[in-house]
Amino acid sequence: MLRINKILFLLFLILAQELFSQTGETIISGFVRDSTSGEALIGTNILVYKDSINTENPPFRVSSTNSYGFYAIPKLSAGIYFIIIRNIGYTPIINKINIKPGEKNIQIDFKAVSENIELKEVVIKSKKEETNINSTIDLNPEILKKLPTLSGEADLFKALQLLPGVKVESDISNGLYVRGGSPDQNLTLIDGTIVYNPTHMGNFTSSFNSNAIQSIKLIKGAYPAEYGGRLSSILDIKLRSGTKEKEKGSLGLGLITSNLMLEGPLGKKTTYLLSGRKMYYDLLQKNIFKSSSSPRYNYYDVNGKITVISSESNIFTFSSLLSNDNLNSPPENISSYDIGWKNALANITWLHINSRSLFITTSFSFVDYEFKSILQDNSPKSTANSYYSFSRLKDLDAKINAEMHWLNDHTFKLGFNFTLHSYSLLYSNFYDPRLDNTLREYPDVVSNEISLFLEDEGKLTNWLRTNIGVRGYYFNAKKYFSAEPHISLQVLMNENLSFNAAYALTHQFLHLVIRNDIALPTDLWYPSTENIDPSKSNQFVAGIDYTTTNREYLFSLEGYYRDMKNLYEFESAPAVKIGESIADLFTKGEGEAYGIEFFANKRLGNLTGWIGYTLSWTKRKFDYLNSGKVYYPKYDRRHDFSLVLAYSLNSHWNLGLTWMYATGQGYTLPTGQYSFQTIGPSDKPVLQFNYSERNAFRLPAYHKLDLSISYQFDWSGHEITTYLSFYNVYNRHNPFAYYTTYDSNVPAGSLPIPKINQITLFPFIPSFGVNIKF
Amino acid sequence: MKKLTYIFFLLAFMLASGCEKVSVIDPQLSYKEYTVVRAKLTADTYFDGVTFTKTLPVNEKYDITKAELKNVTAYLKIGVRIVPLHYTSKGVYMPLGRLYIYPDSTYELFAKVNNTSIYSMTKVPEKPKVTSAVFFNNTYLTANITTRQNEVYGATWDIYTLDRVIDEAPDFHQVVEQPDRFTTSISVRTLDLPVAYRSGSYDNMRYIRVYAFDSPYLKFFKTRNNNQPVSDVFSQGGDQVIWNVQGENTIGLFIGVAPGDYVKAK
Repeated sequence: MLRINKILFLLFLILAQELFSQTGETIISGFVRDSTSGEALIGTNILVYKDSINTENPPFRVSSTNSYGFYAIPKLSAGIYFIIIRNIGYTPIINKINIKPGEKNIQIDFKAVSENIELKEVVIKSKKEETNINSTIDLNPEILKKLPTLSGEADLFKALQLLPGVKVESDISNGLYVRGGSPDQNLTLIDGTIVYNPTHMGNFTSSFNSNAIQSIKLIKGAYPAEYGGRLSSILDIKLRSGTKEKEKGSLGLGLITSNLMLEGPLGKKTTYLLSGRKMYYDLLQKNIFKSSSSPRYNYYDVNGKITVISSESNIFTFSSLLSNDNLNSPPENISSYDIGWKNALANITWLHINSRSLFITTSFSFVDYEFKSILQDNSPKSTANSYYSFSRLKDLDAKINAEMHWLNDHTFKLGFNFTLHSYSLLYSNFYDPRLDNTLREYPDVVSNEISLFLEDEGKLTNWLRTNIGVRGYYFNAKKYFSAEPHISLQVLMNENLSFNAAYALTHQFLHLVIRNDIALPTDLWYPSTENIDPSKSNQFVAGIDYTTTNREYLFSLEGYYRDMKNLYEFESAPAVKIGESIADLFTKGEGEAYGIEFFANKRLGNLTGWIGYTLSWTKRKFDYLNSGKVYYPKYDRRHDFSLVLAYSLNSHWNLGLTWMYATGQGYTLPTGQYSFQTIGPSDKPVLQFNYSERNAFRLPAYHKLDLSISYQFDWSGHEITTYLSFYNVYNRHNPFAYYTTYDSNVPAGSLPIPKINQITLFPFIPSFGVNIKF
Repeated sequence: MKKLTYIFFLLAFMLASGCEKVSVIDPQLSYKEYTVVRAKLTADTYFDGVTFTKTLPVNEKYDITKAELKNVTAYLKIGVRIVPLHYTSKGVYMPLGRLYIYPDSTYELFAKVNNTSIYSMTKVPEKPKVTSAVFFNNTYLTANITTRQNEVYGATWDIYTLDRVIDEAPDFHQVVEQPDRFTTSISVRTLDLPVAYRSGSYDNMRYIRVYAFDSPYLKFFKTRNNNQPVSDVFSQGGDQVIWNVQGENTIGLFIGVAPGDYVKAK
């Protein structure tokens, strides 16, 4: 507590200094946008020289645009200044400004002209001139288009999986596992709004069309105080605003999925962007792969955004997302399942710049997420109990954030967030269609979450950059108050080399409780209550970064440690009983994760890409799992290596290659069989398996090579891209699961002979498609 | 156009041929021999023996002649009395004479299998006392019972007439324990009755029977389904069962039980 008070006091001093030191000097601020489309240019470098430009000397001031394309240069005295706007892929802009005595604020918006060359910088480890957030990777959406995927369509989550520290559990698991955290521990934001389930099933795709994405920021741990509510990591995605140039569109047709995107101006001040996708793999399964035991699966999603630039200092955006996934068992399956989830969200944001260069974002969001699981087991030999659950989570969220650029080398951030959560939950040990209508008879459970943060990002000395903040919470269902320190330091040894360290305490009030015994998604979000404690985690990060002088190569080595308290999972083989709380089936536990990540990134040239390697350990311990002993969860992979290459042969041909290798996932296997006469009302002998400790065995190592080739050409003024994608080129039989079957050729009255089978879901799969821009 | 059509069908064929592949794995991959011990000590009955077997690899037919252990040195200790156990058949070890199991008595098992020491202990409960029994909500039966420390309780519904059980619940719905040492009465319920037994014609035949077990049975009951084979690709069962027999690479249950009387439900 003493430590938190010190941090608050320090922040107060900095705020006071900023408030009282802003008189008599000029602030230059504004937006940097693409001259054609009008899209904000994030991360653009702003270099300010006084009196004359002398590139031999360091600039008088350096800054960069924020996630809305906004910049501010405070505390300039009267005189002549030269501002250089620099962004890769755009012609630099040089602007001369004469600040006269007494001038308070000057707003200058810049329109950068594209050099009409392909953007070559594919990944930026976040070490821009004016930011200091450790463990951050800014992924350029352009790289997504160059990587091979299963469906052939560019996808964000495919690329994220190839970064060090990011894992998936299996070929069809949902969500990302970042540095030992489960998917619910990642905060995914689209234009600042929470997405509870950002993925379509498995490795197919994320819930948003890659064509509509403007920027992607992944913070893998010890994130700054402006984010909160999750233990592990942040995925912050900004959608494009849509071009103001003219009506445009693109159509992508593929074997498994197709997509359509439309964008353009709506009058002089307004732009729109609308994109949608549809997957129809279940149709292929129904008509071609009738005997496949893979789930029957389809989805659609729609993204939309309208941007109104009403004046130089007021911008309004309306964005929305709608997605729907359906997953069904194949006919004749022993166990039947019907699983579906829906995301619906809408957001209104008002960006306002006041006269003192205070950048204020005010937003209101509505989120509606529902998940339904129906699992019915018709086999007397299976452990799976019939299970029905329907959970719905509705959030109303109001947020106001202020960003102050009043002091040289410091950006002060302040924010307030109020969220009204409403949960509905229905579960049963059987399924009847009438249950679907029962939910409305139960009142929603409502809880409030309030948070407040203060953050200062700046440069204390020429060699020390800091990001220091604190975030406070109140969660009323538990009457829980907490304060989290978030500290990040960067020591600059020279222009190329820096050492980094960070610490953060994080909390999470909503728990995604999953069934351990089922490989299919069975999301059940459950809030902290009197009996369910908020999860919390201490995170430590330390690393070293080296960038070559021409910024072509970046090398990073980073270590991390995090503990996790108050985690919740279903106990083994849970049997839902009517009249008892489903929380009675949860077991409470803790975990820890630590590891080291190496990242080498080639960012410029015709050949770009990266090599990532992670050596990591993830552990869990629950009261009622694995007899209360420590175990490694399935997604614990000791070694994880990825190679990503994108090569532009010329302006028409592009090649993409990814190869990944990972230690096989942990798996629980029977060590033998035995006959045991049950002890209870009836004492019948039954054949049983003696299982190893949880995940004591490792599946064979997972590795595969994916390739893609695309050819781009103009046809009747339309840009057309055709692609051919090869998933798992050398047909590696990566096991997905082991399961038991019985030999039916036994004499009557004899015990059946069990066999353990291994199934591989996705061997070699080619796909092709075409994208047309119009 | 012909070429495009050809390419399309070629890719569709490759896609079709690239669906999932199933293969049987080598059972020796995970096989590890365990000793399996099983004994049920029922109050006020004669002891029916301890079974010693070993686990077999998964991908073969289970054969008791391969599984039984014939060379186990085992004995029971009851207070200061030692009762040696001798192999009979199918892995069952019995005392030379008949051994009566007394309620409220403690029994210890000592055994040696291939130089591995095995030990367990159980206290045989007394017959549970039912204070009331109700046919609840026309669905299942509940009984209020007087509890004792270190005992847990399960209950079955029984269709009982003319001193004969016509039908009985195949399992317990729950196993309950005394929540604290100050609580002396708790309720235990049965599985739901089959609809046929809920009607008026069975009004005089619905009985409840409560079983008292030594307390380790509760953890076994909660985890007992973890060891059943998983036959669905997308289910991953398999967790450890909590047993009360101790010994290296040994699993098993050595448990005392006292079935109660049949009590008519109102």
